[in-house]
Amino acid sequence: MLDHREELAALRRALRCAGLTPDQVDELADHVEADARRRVDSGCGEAQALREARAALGPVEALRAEFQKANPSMDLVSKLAGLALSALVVALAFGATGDLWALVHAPALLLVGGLVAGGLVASFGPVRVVRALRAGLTGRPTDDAEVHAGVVARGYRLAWASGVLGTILGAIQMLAQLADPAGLGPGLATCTLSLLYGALIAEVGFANLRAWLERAAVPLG
Amino acid sequence: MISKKLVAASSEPLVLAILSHGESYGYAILQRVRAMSGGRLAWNEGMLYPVLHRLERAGLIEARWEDGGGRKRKYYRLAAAGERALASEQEEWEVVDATLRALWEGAGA
Repeated sequence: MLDHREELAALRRALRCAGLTPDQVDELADHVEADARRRVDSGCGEAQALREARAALGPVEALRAEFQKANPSMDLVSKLAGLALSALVVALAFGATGDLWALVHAPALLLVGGLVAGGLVASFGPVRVVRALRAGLTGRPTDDAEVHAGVVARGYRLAWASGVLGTILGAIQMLAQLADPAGLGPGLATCTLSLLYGALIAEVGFANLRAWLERAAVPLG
Repeated sequence: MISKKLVAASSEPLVLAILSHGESYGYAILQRVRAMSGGRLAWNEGMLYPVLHRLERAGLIEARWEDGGGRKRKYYRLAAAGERALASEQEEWEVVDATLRALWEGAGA
């Protein structure tokens, strides 16, 4: 029996951190253990057998890349499904108590979306922005991880700032209509929904992208 | 040593062919390939498992987990679609083999 359980446990942790599924982790850990047993049977010491078996498996990054290559769309599909689920929950939660269309307000959407997109393009250029978004969605390790992390961090801040800016502009719009209470609606909608859009873009969009990029860049092994 | 390209191209038919002899698991498949090729087909462990998972998703092989000795091991076996795929692969590789042999024998003549 192999007694060096902590080495195998460390390998399992590294594989889990790499984003491999529990089944993949189990299978690869079993592989290392079987290889180590064979080396022990050939006269190798247990610790050295485990080290050699672990080394034969190769770097965890390479394993993850191979699994992703074998199934490139799954990761992206699960991420998009997660985002869609978030949107659905918001829609259902609001739809149950109010008019769902009240959540859609084109001026606020244009204001927040436009400011975020414009700010990102002004800071990084369109190519880097598109590459960063693609890197986050696909989860593939890239050579430009630092720039991509910068794009996503800036996007997160811009989303919140745009939401707050929309709120201020909506408030100004409302103040201009104080004499006519019937005209307060558009300003109030811009005021509240800008903040909602900014929060959603920041916390559902960019916060997830940041997590996915970090996972893709985790130093492993 | 066999080139990486050829190793990659031959990985699926090799796995299917090994499983056509009976159920097996990743490590044993790897050892079998090494033994059968006299160590010249040096498969990378990182390559084998994604191939197994791809074949499983494609429905060419089936897998089951078995608990034993305090750990889980995943066993693979050939599915009906895998048998058909293996027959098709065999035909293709035989064509390539026959063509190359004819060319090399002709070149040597």
